Amino acid sequence: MNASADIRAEPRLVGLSAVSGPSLSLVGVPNCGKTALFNRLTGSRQKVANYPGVTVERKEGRFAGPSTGRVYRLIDLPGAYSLEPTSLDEAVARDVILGRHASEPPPDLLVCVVDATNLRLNLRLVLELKRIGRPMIVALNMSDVAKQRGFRLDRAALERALGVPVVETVAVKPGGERALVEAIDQYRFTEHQTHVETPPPATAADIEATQREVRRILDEIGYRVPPRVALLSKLDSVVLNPIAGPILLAIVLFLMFQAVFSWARVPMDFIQDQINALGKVIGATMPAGPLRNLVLNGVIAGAGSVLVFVPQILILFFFILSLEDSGYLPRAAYMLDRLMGKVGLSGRAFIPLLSSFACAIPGVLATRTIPSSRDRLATIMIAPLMTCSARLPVYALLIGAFIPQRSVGIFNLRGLVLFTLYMAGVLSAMGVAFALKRTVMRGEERPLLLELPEYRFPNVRNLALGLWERLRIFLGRVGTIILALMVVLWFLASFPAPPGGATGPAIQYSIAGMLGRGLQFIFAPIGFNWQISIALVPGLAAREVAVSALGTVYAMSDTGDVAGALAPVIARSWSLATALSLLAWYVFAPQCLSTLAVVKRETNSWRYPLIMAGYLFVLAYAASFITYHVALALGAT
Amino acid sequence: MAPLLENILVGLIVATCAVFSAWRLMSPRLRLRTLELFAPALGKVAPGMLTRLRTRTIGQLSGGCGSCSHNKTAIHHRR
Repeated sequence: MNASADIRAEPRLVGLSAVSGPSLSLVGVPNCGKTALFNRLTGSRQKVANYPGVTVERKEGRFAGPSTGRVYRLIDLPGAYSLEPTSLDEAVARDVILGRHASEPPPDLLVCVVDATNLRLNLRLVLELKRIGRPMIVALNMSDVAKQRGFRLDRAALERALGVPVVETVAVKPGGERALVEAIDQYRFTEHQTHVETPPPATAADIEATQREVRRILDEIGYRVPPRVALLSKLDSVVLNPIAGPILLAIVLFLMFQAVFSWARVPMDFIQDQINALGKVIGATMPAGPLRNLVLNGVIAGAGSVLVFVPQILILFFFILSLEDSGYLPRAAYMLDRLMGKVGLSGRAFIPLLSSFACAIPGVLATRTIPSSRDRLATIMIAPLMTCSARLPVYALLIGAFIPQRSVGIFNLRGLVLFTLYMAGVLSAMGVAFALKRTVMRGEERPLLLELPEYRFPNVRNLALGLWERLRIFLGRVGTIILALMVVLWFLASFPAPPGGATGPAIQYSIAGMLGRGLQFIFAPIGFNWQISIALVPGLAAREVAVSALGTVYAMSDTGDVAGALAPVIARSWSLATALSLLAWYVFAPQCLSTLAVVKRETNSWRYPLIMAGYLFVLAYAASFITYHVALALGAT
Repeated sequence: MAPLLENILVGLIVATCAVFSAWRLMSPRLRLRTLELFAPALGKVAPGMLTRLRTRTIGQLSGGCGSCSHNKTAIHHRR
């Protein structure tokens, strides 16, 4: 029997419930590939990225072993550098490992994932885990990358040095998890422990001793950083340069927003043509009546009008996901740390704020990585000011309708306007953070300690999965909540029927028409007509619903009921000042209900979501008022 | 389709969408309260649906976005 087999053979085999199965926890330092391995093992599609702090809460999945058929319960924990937490997410990991989590018994087996390209950082946690005496397997992840880069990896030597089973894994490749699955399946589980001894707090001497032990093990197994890797890190002298770095970042962001408009035109036209053709077919084949009216004006004009923005959303996320996976984004965080520090924010706020560009909800959840509660609260309060992807359809509709398709120098004017809107969101967030941190949320400044991951080419599978997830989420929303709300809006816009002798479109006499006219008293000073006022109400459910609502309202205001493109209709009906005012409104747009609910949950109080909704409404109204009146004064009619 | 039947169908679609929208816009806590309120009636008509909705809502209450993902059992085959 060889050494590795000796280590795997545990003394006792006890019966574990086949239904619940042994529970396993994936632990490791941030950005070592735990979530990618979790996805590979369980067939899930959790978000992965090339920066630390993506997983902020426990995630669970199951998989069946090939030899025993046993079903394993796998928990993906947030990354932790040690068992002494400095932030909420690290505390979650520590509590689950030590069985201190209220609803989670200690796992039967720890799978400690280590990044094979950075053993020096990763082994400290392995040694800490070994000290608490829990059953453990070490997964030497990214072993392929380590070998390509010239690291000398001796799995068997590491196994001997650590005294626990070590297997090589490649989480991003199909089959890269096999050795780990087999090791888990062959593992002899001991009796389930309900209590784990909590280790005493580490002293400086303990930390020193652990570091010495790490160095000793690395020397013993002959692990060295190859010269090529040291050379690649020289790229950082340009990327992180105080002058060249920000210029490079500006160029990257500029290109991203240019592409959103330039590349999306052809697929957008194609989708719009298909929607128009479907509307014509239904209009020609279905007999006139309420059902046809519902399908044309509620479903196709409403829900169909947001589908056209799918290509722009995918292009935006293609860039964001590529930058994430390449390792560039944490460097951008490092560069922006000085700016963040000037407004009183922690550098750790960058990742939550970046996540908020997709949706404020993961952004708010990601604030758990921020150690200071005041910094965390300030970041939560400004997260909605980052332009979430739901706002993109609104921006794209208004820019497409009112901003001419022409070039300014080498740039596309529409792309420039979109870039300006995104920047307006970022600068407003900085302004609000500055005000909060100088008044009600004052706190000490903390230095940013961020692990810069290796540069790498974006992984095609991760990229495809990420884009598919965004598409699935967007289409899921269109097919569920947006569609349902549009049917309800159609009903409200159709009933009651107009009185005899009425001359205007039926919607004017409907419940929605009355509601719109009621709200117009509030919104007329910022240039919004009653149709926009109606659209703002369902827009609280999700911002892109406003586009669908405008589609339904305008389709029903028209004399015919054939669904067509919305942009030309609003270009005819609104002034430029109104369009600019609505754009300004959506930079601050009072938050969607789901985000407010998550903020309530994360802050455990209604106080902060109410303050958030209130301040965003005031900002949105003020910005729209100023924009509208300045635009009118400049002759934008 | 007869006009009366068409009106009933449209009415049903609108009512279903209104209930669904209200459900989706509720917080998980409010959803649980609503389920408790309607449990006696729903338990008789569709007990399976009641259990599913309750399990899903409790799951959403305890986790965040991450916990509502694909909780299936992956099968690993021998090489």
